Amino acid sequence: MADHPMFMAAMVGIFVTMFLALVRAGLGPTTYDRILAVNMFGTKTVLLIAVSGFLYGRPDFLDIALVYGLVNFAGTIAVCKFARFNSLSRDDRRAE
Amino acid sequence: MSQAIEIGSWIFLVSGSIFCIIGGIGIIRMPDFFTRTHAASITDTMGAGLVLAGLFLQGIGMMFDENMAWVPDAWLVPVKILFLGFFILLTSPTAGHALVKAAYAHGLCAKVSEGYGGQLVTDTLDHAAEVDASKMHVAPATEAEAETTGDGGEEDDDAVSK
Repeated sequence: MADHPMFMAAMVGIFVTMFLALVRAGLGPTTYDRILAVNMFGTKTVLLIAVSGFLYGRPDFLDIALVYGLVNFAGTIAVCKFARFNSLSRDDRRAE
Repeated sequence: MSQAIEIGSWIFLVSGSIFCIIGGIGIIRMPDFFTRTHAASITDTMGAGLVLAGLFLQGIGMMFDENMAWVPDAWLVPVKILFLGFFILLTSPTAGHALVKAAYAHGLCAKVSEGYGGQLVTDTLDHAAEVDASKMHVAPATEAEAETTGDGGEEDDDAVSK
């Protein structure tokens, strides 16, 4: 089960998607395009870690994928807040 | 049993990869930011969901050995994959919503096709306060409507930028 071609196929598809997201992160005219592309890249990284764990026969990699997914979410929210307010310590309630 | 799991995993993994690549092509070719979020959300829901479904089937298959005997502690693998899918489905729409809300509040306008009477505005980040909000909507049919939406939008922008 360790070196099954279907995991290789999934990894190739995920790699192509990560490359396309990186192209958009480099091109993207606005800051938000870049944040979107980096967020998508992070989600694909989670999938890549999970699939590579199965490819190498070590499903313990799923723990790393879980942690990476949560960190990716927190990082995206933090970068959104920074891009909107130019500060991370601003009180959101006063902006509404 | 094992054959069915292999075939199902193949189908799920390959179709999930195809959805991922479709979303990747979309994030390159879509015209503006708000449509690119649509392309990115496809890879987060269908792409990630189908790939994780394929891995889940593999995890189910790892719970039993060749003699269909129970492998101890192998049940953790499909449970972890379920948690992974749950967190992706929970966090990715939240992050997308926060991103689009931040972009809209910052004055980023949607790119509207010319046939609908819109105007092409893609990057207004540097002058967010003087955004003409009538360009955010698809079809300002008459001048009166455009003025009303413009007034409301400018008030919104002032409130946000304070």
